[in-house]
Amino acid sequence: MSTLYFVLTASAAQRIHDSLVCLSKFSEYICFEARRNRLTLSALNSTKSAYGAVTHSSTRFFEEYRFVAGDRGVGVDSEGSRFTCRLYSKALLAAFRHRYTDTKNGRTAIEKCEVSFEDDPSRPECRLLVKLICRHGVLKTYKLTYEEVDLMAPVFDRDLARNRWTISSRLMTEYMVHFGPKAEQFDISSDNGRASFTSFTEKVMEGREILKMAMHTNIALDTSDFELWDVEDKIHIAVSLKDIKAIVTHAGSLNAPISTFYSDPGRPLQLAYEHDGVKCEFTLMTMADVRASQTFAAITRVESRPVAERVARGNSAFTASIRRREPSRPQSQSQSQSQIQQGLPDDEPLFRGPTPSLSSIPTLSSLTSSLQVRPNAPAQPTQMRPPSPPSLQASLSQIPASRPMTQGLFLPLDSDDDSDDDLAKRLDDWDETSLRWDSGGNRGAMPSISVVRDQVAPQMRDQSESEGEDEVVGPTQQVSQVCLFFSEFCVVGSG
Amino acid sequence: MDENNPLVVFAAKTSSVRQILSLLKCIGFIPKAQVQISSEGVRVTVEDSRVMQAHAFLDKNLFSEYSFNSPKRNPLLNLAGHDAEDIEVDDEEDLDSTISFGISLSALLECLQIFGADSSFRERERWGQGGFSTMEHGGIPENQLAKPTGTCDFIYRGEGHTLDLILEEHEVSTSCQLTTYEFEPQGEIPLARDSLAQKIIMKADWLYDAIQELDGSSPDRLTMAVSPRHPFFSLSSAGPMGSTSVEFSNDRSLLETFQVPVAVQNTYKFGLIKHAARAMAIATKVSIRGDNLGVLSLQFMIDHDGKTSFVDFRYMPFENEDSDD
Repeated sequence: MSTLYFVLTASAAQRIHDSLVCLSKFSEYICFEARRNRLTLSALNSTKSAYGAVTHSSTRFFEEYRFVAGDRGVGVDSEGSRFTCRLYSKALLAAFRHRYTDTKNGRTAIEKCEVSFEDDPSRPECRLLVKLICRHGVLKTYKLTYEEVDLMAPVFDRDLARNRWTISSRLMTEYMVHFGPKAEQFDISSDNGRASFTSFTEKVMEGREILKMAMHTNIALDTSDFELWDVEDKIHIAVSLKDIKAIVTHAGSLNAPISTFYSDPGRPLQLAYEHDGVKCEFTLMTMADVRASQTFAAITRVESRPVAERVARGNSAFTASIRRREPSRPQSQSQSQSQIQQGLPDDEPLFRGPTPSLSSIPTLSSLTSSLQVRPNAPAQPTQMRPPSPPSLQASLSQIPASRPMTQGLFLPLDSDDDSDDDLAKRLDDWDETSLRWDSGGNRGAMPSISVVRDQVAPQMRDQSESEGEDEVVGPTQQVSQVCLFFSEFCVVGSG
Repeated sequence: MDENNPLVVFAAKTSSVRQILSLLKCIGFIPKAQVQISSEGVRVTVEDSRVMQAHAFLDKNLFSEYSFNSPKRNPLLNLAGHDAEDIEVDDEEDLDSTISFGISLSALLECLQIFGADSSFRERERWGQGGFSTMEHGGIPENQLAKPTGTCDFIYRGEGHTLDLILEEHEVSTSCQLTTYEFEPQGEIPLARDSLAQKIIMKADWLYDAIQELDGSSPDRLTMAVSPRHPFFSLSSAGPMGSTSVEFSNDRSLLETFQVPVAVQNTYKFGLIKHAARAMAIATKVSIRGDNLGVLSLQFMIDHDGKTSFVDFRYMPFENEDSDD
C-alpha cells in the first residue's frame, strides 16, 4: 500500500488550478505520478499527438510532502518507486477550482489544502482526498475516484533539436492575441532572421472543397525580442494553435520564459518553462510538412512541393544534424507546377527569391521552388526526462503511408484493454482530432510518417532493460501496430 | 399619471428599478409568475416541479408612490375618484385584500432590462469619450450598473387588463404593456414554523460559496445535515466522479444563529437549490429553516441602499426512509 500526502498553500493550490486548466485542454484525464522527490501531473491527448507534464518539486512547491511506496501496482525504475494514477480532469478542476483569490466580503478563503491518496487494497474504492481548510472553520472535502494506470510519456532529446528559441511568456501572450479562436494550426518559421508566426486553418466545409476559414494571420517579429533565437531559415513547424494557446496562457500565469526546441517538420517539438519549483514540458507532434498542405501553400502563395516518399532506415547513424538539399523528383515537381497553375498562375514569377518585407504574405513567399529543404533525419535517439537511463531512449523510424493522417507522438505498446479503448476512441475521433494534417487533397505525394515510440512505458521498462533489445524489437512492433491501426493504407516499409 | 382614473387598481412609481430588477431576477428561473398585489407591496411567486416555490416581495417602500385600490373592498371609492394615495394611507392599510394575476416574468424582466441596458450603454459611451477605446471596455463595471437610473411607473387597471410599465429616463419614455393571465392559485409549500428542526442564520455568501463548490461535480442531489455536535452543518453531494462535502463549524463568526436540537438529514434536488444561487450571490444574510418534515425554507435578506427586501425559497425534500418522523 502506497500513500501520498501533501499540503499546499492557497497560492500553490491556485498554481495547481492553473496547471489543471492547461492540461485539461489536452485530455479529459489527468495523470498523477508521485515519486519520492516530485509530483508530476500529465495529460496525453486522445490522438497521442500532444503531451504535457507539470512537475512539482517536493521540497520547493509543497508545504509538506510525504510519499511512501507500496508494492502493489507500483512501478520501480532507476529512480525508485512511483505511484501512478489518473483522474477525470473535470473532477479535479472542481476540487481545485479558481477560488483562492476571491476573498470578497470575507468569504471563506482557503488557509491550506491537504491532499492524500490512499492506495489501500482492503478498501474497494480508490479515492483521492482533497481537504480544503478554510477560515472560520469551514472544511471542504472532496473524495475523487481515481484509477491506477500505467503512464505513457514521449521522450524528447533536446540535444538533437537544432532549432531553439526562448521568449518571455508575457511577450508571447501578447503575440497570441493576434490569433483568432477559429484558426486551427500555428506555424513557426524563421525568415531572413525574422521570427514568423502564422495561424491557418485546414478544415474544409462538409462535402465541399471550400475552406471554412480561409484566413491566415501572420506576425513577423524582430528576433531581438527573443531571449534566444537560434532557428534555421525556411523551416516551417506547424502545431495545433489551441495547444499553443493553452501552453502560453499557463506559462503566462507562471511568468516564466518559454523555451522551444525542435528539429524538423514531422518531428516532435517541445516547449518548456520552469518557475519556482514547477517545471513544465509539453511535447507536441508537428505537421509532417506544412508546405505539403495545399491550403497553406495556396493562401500564402508559397509554392508547395510534396515531399518525396522515402523509406528511412530504421536506426542508422545519428544523422539528425545533417541536412540535405535534394532536387525533387520529377513527378512531384510536375504536380506542384500544376498546383500553381491552378491556384495562382500569374503570381508565380513574383515569388522567386526572398522578399525582405514585413507584411504577412511576402514573409512566407521566400520559399521558392528551386529550394527544397528536406532534412533527412531518420533516427533520433530522444530523451525527455533528464534522469532516464540511456536504455530508455526512443527510436524513431519513418514509415511511408499512402495518406496523410494524424500521428501520435508514439504508438502504444501495451496490449491491455486500454489500448482497445484507445483504438476505438481514435477511430471515433478520426474526424474530430485537433491536429489535421492535410485535408486539402494532396493525396498523391505524401510526407512520410515518423513515429516516436514510447519506451518509458512501465511494462517495457520492466521487461527489457537493454538498449539492443529495444532496437531489435522496436521497429517490428511498431510497424505491426501501425498496420493494425491503419491497415487500409499502410505500406510496410521500415526496417 | 392617471391615478385618478377610476379604473386604476394599482399604480406605483419607483426610481429603484435596479433593485426591483435584481429582486425579480433572483426568481427569474421560471418564465411564468403569479403576482399578488396588496396594500403592503407586490408579491411575485414562481414554482418549479411542484416541489419548490420562490417568492420575491417588493415592499411598498421600494416605490416612491404606491397606491393600491382594491376593487373588491372599495367599489365606491373607485367611482368616487379619490386621490389614490390618500386611500392607501388612510383607509386601506389594514385591509387584507389582494388582487392576483399571472404574468410572463421573462417579459417583465426584459422590459425592466431595456431600461438598464440602455443606461449602461450610455455609460460605456461616456467612457469611450474619456480617451479610451470602447473596445477595451467590453465588460461593464459593476458600479456603473448599480447607478440610479430613471423612473418607472406600474399601472394595473384590474382583471383583464394589461400591466403597463412606463419607463422614463432623460426625457425618453418607453411604455410596455404586459398581458396578464388568470391567476393560478398554488398551494403554498407549508413550513411548520412551530416545529422547526433547524434554524441557521449565516452570511449568504458562504452558502453561495458552498453551493458553487458542490456544483463543480454537477451532482443530482444535495444532502443537508445538521447536528448539535460536530459536524454541525454540512452540505454534501455524491456523483460518479466522487463526493464533495462542505462543513461549517459552529463558529459565531460563521453561523450567526444555530438552533438545532437533534441531528437531521434531508436530501433535496440540487438543480432546484441552484435556482437560488442568484439570490445567494447578492443577499447579505440567509436564514435556513427546516421543519420536522424536511420542508426547507431559504430566506434571503437583500440590502439595497439601506432598503431591505426579502426573497424566499421553499423546498420539499426527497422522501427518505431513514429520516425520523
